[in-house]
Amino acid sequence: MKNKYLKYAFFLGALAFFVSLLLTITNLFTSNKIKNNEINKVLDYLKEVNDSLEWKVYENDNNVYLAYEKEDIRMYAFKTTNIGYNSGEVVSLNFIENDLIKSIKIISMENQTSGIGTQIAEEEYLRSFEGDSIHKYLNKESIDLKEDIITGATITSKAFLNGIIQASEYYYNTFYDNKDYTYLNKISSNWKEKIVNDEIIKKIYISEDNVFAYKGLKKYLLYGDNYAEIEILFFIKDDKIVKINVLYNSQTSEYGLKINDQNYLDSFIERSVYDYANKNYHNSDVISGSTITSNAFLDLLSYLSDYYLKGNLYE
Amino acid sequence: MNKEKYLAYFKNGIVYENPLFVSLLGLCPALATTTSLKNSFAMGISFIIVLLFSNIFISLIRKIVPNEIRIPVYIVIIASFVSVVEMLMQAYFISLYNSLGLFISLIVVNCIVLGRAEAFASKNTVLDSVVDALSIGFGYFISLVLIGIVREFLSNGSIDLFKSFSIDFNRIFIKEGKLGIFSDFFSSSSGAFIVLAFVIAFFQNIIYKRGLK
Repeated sequence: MKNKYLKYAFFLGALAFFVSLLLTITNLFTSNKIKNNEINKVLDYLKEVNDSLEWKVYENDNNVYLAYEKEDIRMYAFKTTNIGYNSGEVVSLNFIENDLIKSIKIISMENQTSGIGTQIAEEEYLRSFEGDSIHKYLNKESIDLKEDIITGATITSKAFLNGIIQASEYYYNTFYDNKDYTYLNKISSNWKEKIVNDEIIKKIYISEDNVFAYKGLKKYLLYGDNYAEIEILFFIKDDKIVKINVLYNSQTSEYGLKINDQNYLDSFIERSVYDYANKNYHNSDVISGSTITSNAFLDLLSYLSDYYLKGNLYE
Repeated sequence: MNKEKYLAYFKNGIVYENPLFVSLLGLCPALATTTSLKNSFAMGISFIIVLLFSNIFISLIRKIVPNEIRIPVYIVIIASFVSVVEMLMQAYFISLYNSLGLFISLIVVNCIVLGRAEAFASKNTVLDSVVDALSIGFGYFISLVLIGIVREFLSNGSIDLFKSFSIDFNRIFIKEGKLGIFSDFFSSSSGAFIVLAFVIAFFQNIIYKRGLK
């Protein structure tokens, strides 16, 4: 009796081994071709969406596509697939340009309820995401984006929002720092990078002529329980400020955006970092009407200056 | 002797025991994938490949398969060959794969394939099983192609298999578009049932009139 079952098990095991071998060999011959077919399908779609740009796949990753204008990367497209209602897939293309959501297209959605789940493909809903900063979707889960979840179509809209979150995170982790060089190369050349394990400082760049560039991000309390973020690139040479660029400012109000004014930022040039490390600010440093934001900005300058003066880089 | 036997197999597979027109088996893909001749052709070829290889393999191992677990064993073998066909189609015939979609995977549960495995391949030699697979496979293939031709013609007024094999009846009368006598109804599932019924009636009528029964 026992032998009989052992025989069955052995037979099924041997059969499983054989069919696995057969499928593995077939997969070896077809996987690249299948992947290329998928890439070409998306490229055709992308050309339909925007044929003025030259679309290319990124490092053979069939979910990431770059749009070139001449030789510069102009836009990024991320294909995301998430499971929505009734185990159906929601496949979308998320376009990102200049750290902002440019547009979103739904490629396909399976088993989503007509008129309810399919609302995610409606123009008005999709347009509501256009212009959003990718920062809004970083370190988030779909449940955190309550205002974007469609009542009655929670599972489908969560799948859709997961796509935006995944695209934003991929972009942030892979391409976001690329634009630093647009600013860095205006100041000096041959930059070397150092990644820092610090809550505020993300990266330090050092040029061949000893210009230091600190990339820092500060999160600060705006009002109630609302937080805002500001990210800057802070250039120092010989203990003096060389340049400041605002990379990201989560505020959208007129006052909040005053901090982005390059004339204001250029007023810091040639000032000593000792002043800022010791919080000896100038009278013109605080912007009237934008006190909270400019104070947060000055705190960030102070932190970066202090870090520079302590020579933490050489530790 | 063998020649006569194999000829009888083919006559059975294509005419007397035609899986679709006589036994009414494999109706689901026959209704769903025969919207055009191209789809019918691809479905028929996929079906023949799966049936042929599963019959060969099942016949080869027929003496060592424990009787109690034979059905799951057959299903695993059929499913493997279906996966192989599916991967090859996805790699080399992507447009056909996109239009046939799920129906390629559904060959696994096509009762004709399991039926031939159980009724024939598990009891006969490899050569006999090959001939049986080809005869039944061609029978099903011809049926699909016939329905595909009728449906494509009735819905579009044209028949299109390859670039070099394309007939457009509309062009005889008008320069663009299609004639009003052709209707998209025949590419719908309701149209499929009606076409299938008429083709079966026509097929049975020929057999009856010629006294083949």
